[in-house]
This record gives sequence, structure tokens and C-alpha cells, in this order.
Amino acid sequence: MSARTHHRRRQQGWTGWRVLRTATVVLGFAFVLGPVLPVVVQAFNDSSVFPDRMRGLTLHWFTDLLTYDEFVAGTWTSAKIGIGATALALALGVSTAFAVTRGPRWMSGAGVTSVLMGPIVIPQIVVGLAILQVINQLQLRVGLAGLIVAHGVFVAPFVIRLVAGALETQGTSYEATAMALGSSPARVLTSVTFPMLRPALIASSVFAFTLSFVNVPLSLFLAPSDQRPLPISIYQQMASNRSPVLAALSLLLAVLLLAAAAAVERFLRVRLLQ
Amino acid sequence: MTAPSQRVALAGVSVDYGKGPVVTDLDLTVAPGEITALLGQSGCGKSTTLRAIAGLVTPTAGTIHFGEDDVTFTPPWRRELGLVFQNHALFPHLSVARNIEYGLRRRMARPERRQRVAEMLALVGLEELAESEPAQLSGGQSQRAALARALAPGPRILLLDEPFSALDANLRDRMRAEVESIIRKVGVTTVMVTHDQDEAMSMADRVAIMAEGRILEVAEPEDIFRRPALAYTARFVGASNLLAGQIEGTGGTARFRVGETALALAVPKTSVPAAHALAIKPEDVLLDPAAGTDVVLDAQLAGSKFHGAVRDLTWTVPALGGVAVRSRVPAGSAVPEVGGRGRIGWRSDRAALVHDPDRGAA
Amino acid sequence: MGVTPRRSRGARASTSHVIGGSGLSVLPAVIAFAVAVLVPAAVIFHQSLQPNPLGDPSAPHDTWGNYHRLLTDPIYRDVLLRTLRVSVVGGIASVVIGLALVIGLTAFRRREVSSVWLFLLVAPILSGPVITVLGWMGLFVEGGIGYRVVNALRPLWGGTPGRVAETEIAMTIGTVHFVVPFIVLTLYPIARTVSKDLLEASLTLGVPPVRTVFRVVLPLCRPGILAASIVGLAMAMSAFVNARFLGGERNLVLTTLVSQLVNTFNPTLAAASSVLLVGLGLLLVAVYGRVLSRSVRREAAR
Repeated sequence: MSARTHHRRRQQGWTGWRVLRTATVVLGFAFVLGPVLPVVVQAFNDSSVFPDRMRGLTLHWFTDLLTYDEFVAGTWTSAKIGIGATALALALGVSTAFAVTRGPRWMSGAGVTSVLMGPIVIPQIVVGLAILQVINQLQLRVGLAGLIVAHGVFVAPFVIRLVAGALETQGTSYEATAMALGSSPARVLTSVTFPMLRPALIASSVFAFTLSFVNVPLSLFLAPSDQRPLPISIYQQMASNRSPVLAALSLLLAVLLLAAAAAVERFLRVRLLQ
Repeated sequence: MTAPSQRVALAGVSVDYGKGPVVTDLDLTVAPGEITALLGQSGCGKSTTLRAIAGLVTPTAGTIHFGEDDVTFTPPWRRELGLVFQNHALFPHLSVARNIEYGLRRRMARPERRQRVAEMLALVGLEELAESEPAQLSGGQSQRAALARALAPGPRILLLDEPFSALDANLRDRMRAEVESIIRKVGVTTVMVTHDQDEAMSMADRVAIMAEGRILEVAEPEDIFRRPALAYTARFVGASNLLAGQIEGTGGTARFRVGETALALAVPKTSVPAAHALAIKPEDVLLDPAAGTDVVLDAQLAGSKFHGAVRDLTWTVPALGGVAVRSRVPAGSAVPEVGGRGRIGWRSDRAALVHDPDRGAA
Repeated sequence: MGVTPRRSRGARASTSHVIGGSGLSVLPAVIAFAVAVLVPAAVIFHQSLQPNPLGDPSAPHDTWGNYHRLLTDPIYRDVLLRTLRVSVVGGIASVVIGLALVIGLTAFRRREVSSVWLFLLVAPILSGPVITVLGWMGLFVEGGIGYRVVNALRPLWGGTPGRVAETEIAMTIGTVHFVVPFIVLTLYPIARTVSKDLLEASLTLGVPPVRTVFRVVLPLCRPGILAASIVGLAMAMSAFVNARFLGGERNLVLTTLVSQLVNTFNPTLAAASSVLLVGLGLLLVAVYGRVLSRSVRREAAR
């Protein structure tokens, strides 16, 4: 037996493909992740101008964050909206996923699908404006409800996609077995269907909450002036007063959201993607 | 019709995906125009060997030659080979004709390509289905299309990976004969991989038995079946009776001692190394043997099991130290009650003396 | 994104007493969709036909006046054309980049792509547009990496080097960056189902890797590419935060125009711009879908 000599022997002829693939992947990742770099740099840069060249390291942009009441309040507002929107999106998304995967054949057709998936491709700023007009015309006082409905409807397609995919793979045979064993449909749902859907439900909740939490265009017109979601506060600061505090805040926010998503994926063994 | 068929030679080939060797120090030579089958159970490294020949995996050691060319580091697209996949791997977005034409682009001008595709369609008898989508084909048709696609560019080597395992049992026999006749017509050197001994025996000129990443023995199908050299091979081809013992005497008078009894040997193989066993197929173990049977033993029936057309019997033979001997008889045969006594035996030329490193621990 | 998994026929045959088999559970979403999208759309369309509430009340009212103004006034026509340019160029570039990435990650690999890589690729969706827009601002500032790269490439399309921040190029790049993760999300599930056996079959038939990608991978990804293109076009057109900060006030597109018109108290013109934006989106998607499906059909007929 020849010892495990692990000098890897390579075939000729793959160089062209390897170069092309490596270049594509490296450039692609650089493009997607590159814009984070200046934010990281500026968040620790001891300069009150954004952006500026490096003038020394500091952490005070992070400590300053707590002195901005609007950011602290905005975080709570965004969290409330996020939770409400997630609940709504789950209710809409899960029920729709059942209809799409198990309902009459025409419901799985392209027509229904594209209508239900519509919110993904309709300009959100337009919908925000339109809902605002309805609220104004009816002279409703809705507080955050308008935002919650808008966010809920707009993140529902992501829930539909994930849950429909899961329902598709799990099929109906487990439920049929449970029913054959004498369980009522309600009991089958709570003891078989939903426990099996758990990974998809967790993944879509995380997705829905995060998408709602970071949304700007839907909230822009709908945010009540006394209760601004965090991204809207940041947006308004960006327009009026560009300070490294924004870099620190958005970096912190991104790190927390991504860490939460990564933790869900890692520890609950849930795949957010696919 | 094709490039002159070529010899394939693997020397000292090892493949390691990083989790220990899958193929170890493997030597194999396939003569031009010959069909060789790699036969073994799943996970024995036969498919990896095929992939190494195809260039889909690079061996960690050893060389591969096609004819005089060292192709060890040649990528698959420059090896000029044809590979028929287990699942046929027809391109679903192309018609049958375009699948066959796939490997011909840049090799010949359009009119020649057309003509070549027509030839291949005729060769495999798919003229009617030229414009069909692969999804519309039956298993046998898609098999033929895959073969035509692989043969169209005139490969130096044809490789078949478990070619018939996707087919229904009753279709399989017909396809085997058909595919073999097409390969013979084309005359291309062929290596096929299979776990089905019937398939290997019926199609191949030579059969290589593989286990644990190594080739154990290579021989003509008849020899593998009748005179295996190794206990592993004997078991693989169905000789489930392995009697451990020693050779006594030499030349024409050599006998094989199992327990207290010395059994007659037809062709003494003095070359077989020290650890031996005698391998006998259950169907060669006769019940109430007639005259001329040179091994006859008293036995007690320990078990009897009905299998449709045949009945499998298990005997205990006191003279052999209480070893169990299995026999297979036609279902209608007269058989004693379980526990009853009988006489069993075999013709010594039906028993093969094999090398058994595990000393017959069947 | 608009792809629902195809359902297996076997599952369908026995669905008469399946939970959710009636399909009635689609109702909540239909109602929500009507409340949050259709009714507002009707209201905004109605509003777009009204005169400006702050305008001259004595002027004769022209029902389609707002649209007429948007389509004929050079300022607004510029906005319209810029919107078209950014979304078509940006949408197509996003699909090309996303497709290249997905193929680069999946083709000729037997092992599944590590979920870490995918996670990083879609991270911008989860982190929201604000952080990346801030980042691009930092890159496009004079002397920044983005500034230098763009100016080095500008001669390629006949542009003159100079300022990058708050230009149409900056906006287009930001838009592409915003859209690419969605394209990856749409294409990856399709690209990973392309059987490795097919790629290996192509290699053994004498076709080298790059040509195998063009002759096998791309055709098999076609439905995904169509879906991704539609997603890409529509998202490029509706991108807002990027357009607002990377294009600036001087390079308005329809989304930023809507926001500006609302802020300058012209709700009816804002409504008309909104309707135009949605209409333009639907039109582009329809045209694109038709072109692509026709080319698919031509391919099939060949």
C-alpha cells in the first residue's frame, strides 16, 4: 500500500475554469461585502466627519449612541412593529402556504402565485404612500397599526415561500397516518403538522422580523411623527446630519441582526436559505 | 467507424477523497476491443475506478494509459472516451438527436454531424424518436440514446457505469444482449461496472472481482464461475459452501482433508497458498448421489426452505466435523423430513480449491 | 422569488380529505392583499387624477393633467428615462453577477456549498439597506476605492473621470448591490438542482468546463433566470434608499421623485408618479418576460 502521500495531483486543463471561477467568486464577494468596510472603519474613526480618513481609534461613537433618545425609542418602536408584522405575516403566510400546496390545482398556478408574491416586486414606497392616503381619507387614527399591516403583508411572501417548500417536502402521509389512528384534524395540526413545520416557521419568523426591522421605504410615509422606527430615524439623520454615529449604529444593528440569524441557523439547526 | 480501439492500462492506481483510500494500488489491463467488467458489491471502489479512468477523479498515485498515451493528468474532455451513466444523464433540454450530436460540435461540420447522428440513431434503433425529449423515453430507449451519445464521437474507450440497474428486471436481459451486440459491432474497448454477476458473466470477456478498493482476481467469466481462485470470489458467484481444510499428498493422488475426512480433488492446485478452502455451489451438492459421484457423505437434514422453483436444504455432516453444507434442489424433489438422514455428494470437478485468508469463516 | 415549488402528482391524488385541501385558507392573504395593496392602489389612482390642492383653484381641471405633465415636462421626462436606464442596466447587471456567483459556487462541485458562504451573500438583505448605503458613500468619496475603480472603468463606456458620489453611476452600482442578494436567493435553489452527472457527461463528451456551463448549466437554469430577471428589474426599479443617497437630489428616479413630491406638498403629482412607477414596472416585466419566453420557445423549436 502506498503511504498517504498528500501532495495533491492535479489534472491539466482546468486552469481556465479555475481562474474564471475564483475571479468570479472573489470579485462577487468583494462586491457584496465590500461596502461594509468603510462603515467598520468610520465607526471606530476618531473624526466627527463622515466619511473621513483614519484619524485614530475611538469607541465613543458607540457610547454616544445611548445619548440619542430617538435611537433608543426607535429600537423599541421597530421591535413592536417587527413582532406585530411577524405575527401577521406568519398567519397570512402559513394559511396561504397550505392553500397553495394543497388547495385546488389552479391555486398553485402561476396566476395566484404571482399575485401573492406581488408584494415583493411592487415598489414599497408607493404602497407606503398609498396606505397613507387611505388612512388620511378615512381619517383613521391607527398609530402603528398601519405600519404593522404594511410590513406584515410585505414580508408574508417570504413566509409563504419557506413554509410552502416545507409543506411540499413533508407531504400529507404523516397527517393521513395520524388521522387513521383517530386524531382529529385539530390535533393532527398541533401534534404532527406544526411540529414538523417548526424549522420553517422559525426560519420564516427570523426572516420576517429582520426584514421588518430594517425596512425604510414602507415606513417612510407611514411612521407617526411621535413613533419613528429606528431605520427611519437613521434615514433622517443621513439626510440632515451625517455623523460617524450612524456608522456605529448601523454596524451594531447589522452585527446583532446577523448574529441572531446565524445563531438560529447554527443552534436551532434551521436553514434560513433554501 | 470509430477510432482504433485501444488498450487501457491502470498501474498502481490509488484514489483517496481525503477520508482514507477508496481504491488502493490497483493494476488492470484491458486489451483492445475487449469488454471487461468490474464486479463487486457497492462501496468496493469499482465506480471510483471507472471515474478515474474517465478522468472525473484524479488518482493520488499510479498511472493510467490509453494505448501509448499517459492520460493520468488529462482532463475528461481530452480523453476521447464515452461514458454511459447509471441514470443515463441525457440532457433534458435537448432532443434525442441533439443529445447524440452534443459531443460532435467542433469536431465536424454540420452535414457530417447530421449524417453521424443518423448513423448512430440507426445503430441503436431510435430513428423514430430522434426529435423526442429525453423525458418521453422509456428506460430502454433512454439507455440506447445514452449509448448512442457516448459512441457518436468515436471514443477510444467506452465506460458503462451500472448501465442496467435503472431498468426493469425483464427488460434488463434484452438490453444486455442488445448493448453487447452494439459494442461488439463497434469494437470499442469497454470497461463496465456492475454489482450483478449475471450481467458481468453474460457480457464481459473478462471479469475483475473488486473488494475494498482492490482487484482480487481477473479471469474469464467461465473461470471466475467454475474455478475461482479466492474464497471471496467463490462466495460472490454463489458458492456458499466453503469447507476449510488442508491438501494432503501431491499430484494425481492429492486429497483435501476436512476434519476427519479426506475428500477427492479433481484438479489439484499445488500453487494455491497455504490457507485453503473447498468451495461448492449449493446446486452442485447432489441428493442421493448417483454412481460416478466421487464425494459421497452421510448427512442429517437440519433445515429446509421453500423458494418457489427451488428448495434450499441445510445439512450437517458428522464426517466433516459437523460442518453445515447447503444444497439446492428442484422444488419437487423427494426430501427427507427435517432431522432425517440422507446421503449427499458432489462431483469433485465441481468443487474449487480456493485461497481463503479468513479460513472459510463464512 | 415568484416560484412556488411544483407539487408532486402523487401527493395530489389523495388530497380530498387533506388539511388545507379546500384551499379556503388562501382567504386571509387575499383580504390582506386587498386591504394593503388593491384598495390603496385604487385610492392613489383616483388621487392622481385630481388637481394639485395647493395649485391655482381657478385653473381648468384636466383629468389626465398630472400624467401629461410627467410625460412632457423635460424635467420629469429625464426622471423617467433615468429610471428606465438604472433599472434595465442595474437589473440586467444584477442577474449577470448573481448568476455568475451562483454558478461559480455550484458548478462541477460534488459537495454542497457551505451555508456560511450563502449566508454572507444574502447578509445585505438581513442587515437592511442603510449600512450598505453608508458604506458605498464611504467608498465613493473622492480618493476612495469605489471612486478609483469607477474612474478607471469610466473610459470603457466613454465617460469622463470625475466625481462619483451622487451620480447615476453610483446609484446604479448601489442598486445592483441591493438586488444581487435577491437574485442569489432566487437562483441558488435552481442552480443546485442541476445534476452533477449532466456536467460530467458533458465533460466526457469532449466539452471543456466553461463551454459546459454555457451549453448545459445556463439552459437548465433558464426558468430561474427568467424569474430572477423579473425580480431584478422590479427591485432595481423600486430601490429607494440607494437612489436617495447615492444618486442624490439631482439624479432623481421615480421612487425618489415620489418622496420629493410628497415633501413639497404635491400629493396628486406624487400619486401620478407612483402609478407611473408601478405601470412602468409591470410593462418592463411583461416585455422582458415575453422576450425571454419567446427566445425559450425559439430554442425549443430549433
